[in-house]
Amino acid sequence: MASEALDLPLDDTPASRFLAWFIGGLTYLAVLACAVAVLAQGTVERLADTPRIVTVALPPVDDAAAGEAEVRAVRALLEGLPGVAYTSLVSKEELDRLVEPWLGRAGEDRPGEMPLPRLVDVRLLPGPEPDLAALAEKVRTVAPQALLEDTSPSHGTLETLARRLRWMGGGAGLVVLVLTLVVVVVVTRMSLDLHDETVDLLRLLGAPDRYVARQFELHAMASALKGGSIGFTAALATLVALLYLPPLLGHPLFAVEPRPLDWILLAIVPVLAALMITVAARLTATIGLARLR
Amino acid sequence: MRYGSGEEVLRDIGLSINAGSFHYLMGPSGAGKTSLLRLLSLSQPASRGTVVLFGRDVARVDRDELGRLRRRIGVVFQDFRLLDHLTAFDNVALPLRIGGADPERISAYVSQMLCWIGLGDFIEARPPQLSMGQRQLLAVARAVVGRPDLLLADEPTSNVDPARAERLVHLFAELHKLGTAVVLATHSRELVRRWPFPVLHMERGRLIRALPAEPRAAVG
Repeated sequence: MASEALDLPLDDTPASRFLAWFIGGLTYLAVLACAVAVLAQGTVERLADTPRIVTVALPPVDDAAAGEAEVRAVRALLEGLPGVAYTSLVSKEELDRLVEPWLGRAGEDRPGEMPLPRLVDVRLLPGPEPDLAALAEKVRTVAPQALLEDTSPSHGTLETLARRLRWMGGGAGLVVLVLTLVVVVVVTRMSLDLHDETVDLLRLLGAPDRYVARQFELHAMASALKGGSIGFTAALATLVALLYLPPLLGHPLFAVEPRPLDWILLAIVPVLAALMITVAARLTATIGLARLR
Repeated sequence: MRYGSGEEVLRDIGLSINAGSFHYLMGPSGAGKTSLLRLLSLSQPASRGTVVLFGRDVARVDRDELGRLRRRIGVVFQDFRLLDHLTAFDNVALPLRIGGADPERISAYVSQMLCWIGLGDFIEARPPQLSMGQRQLLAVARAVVGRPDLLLADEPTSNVDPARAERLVHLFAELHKLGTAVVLATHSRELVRRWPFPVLHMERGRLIRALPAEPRAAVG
């Protein structure tokens, strides 16, 4: 006989009625923003796991024996350093191929022997960002003219981009959550004003503030669960479509996929939002009721 | 007592209502009957003077205590103040839910009350689906379901037929016998004649006189 209806007709006002849809839309955006952060974090970790190559360039020398000794000294020094996997001397053929676009083919366009620098590739172990300036300093103790260059330029750019996206995604998710809370606070205050006569009646019947505030809390929680489920399901569908459909067509959009833990983190977003919305509604109602006589 | 910064609507009221008493409140329209009931139901504070209810000065109690005092009062509002989105059952159950009664007790009490008052077939109906008289009965049921210590009724028989009015006053008298103090605002001299209890007479915001109970006429 007892219905599930709240004592306050909180679904009677447009703002309250559409609260679930507001929350649904904002949850959708929050989950997508957090997914961007999660994918960016995956990219950052993947790049950190990728071996990195820097190249040490030694200027050309006339004395071949002295040059070889210098290369040996540089390689011995580098291979003794922590974080260096191994070093390799770039062969003359490889060097010729590298300069060919600018200087032409060796022996045909380039008559005579043009002095070229000697290059040593240094493969670094995956891990934290290496201090290239310190590494160059150390190399210069045995080869004062040596230059050190990070030969994987796209690596740095990608990593910077991924790091920025991670913060932007996380930040956007946070902004959307805050916006959701603002909407809930505004709607609760509006409802409190609109239903002042009913609130007055409940208080006349002896309802304490916590009883009345509970009405707003229950309504907000129901809206959050409904809207959160809709928003999360829609965001999940969008993510799955973006992640798994393009690879089937041969054009993957992302180099990384969310790990199982990432999916769990994304599922926490609507739960966290529902919790915060419920608390925000209760606090807003309690503060509003305290202002009434 | 005054509403906002308006003129005083009640003045020089000296009234003591004993536990288990029954009083009619009579007087012409605008005399201040509803205002006095609002004061007694703790919906309006006194602008000066003191209101002591159940031994507590209501101006000095905190919000929680005010709620507890209000839960001991049943009020039948002149305009009923029913919640249109709730069923008849939920409207009557409201004071019990607020009081924290368990669902089984609520179900039993409310069903019993609605059947007794003649709304047993309208348990699931919402107030807009009921006639004026039925709404009035519903408002009475809500006021008495928690068996209050003080019952304040503002014209509770004005919209019901004589037979139902008789039944309602009988209900109030029964509550009175069980220890509830009843203050019933009415214009009906017939009612006072048939159910003789002391009459509080009001005019222009003042309590003019308290008349002793009229000799009881034939009670059906």
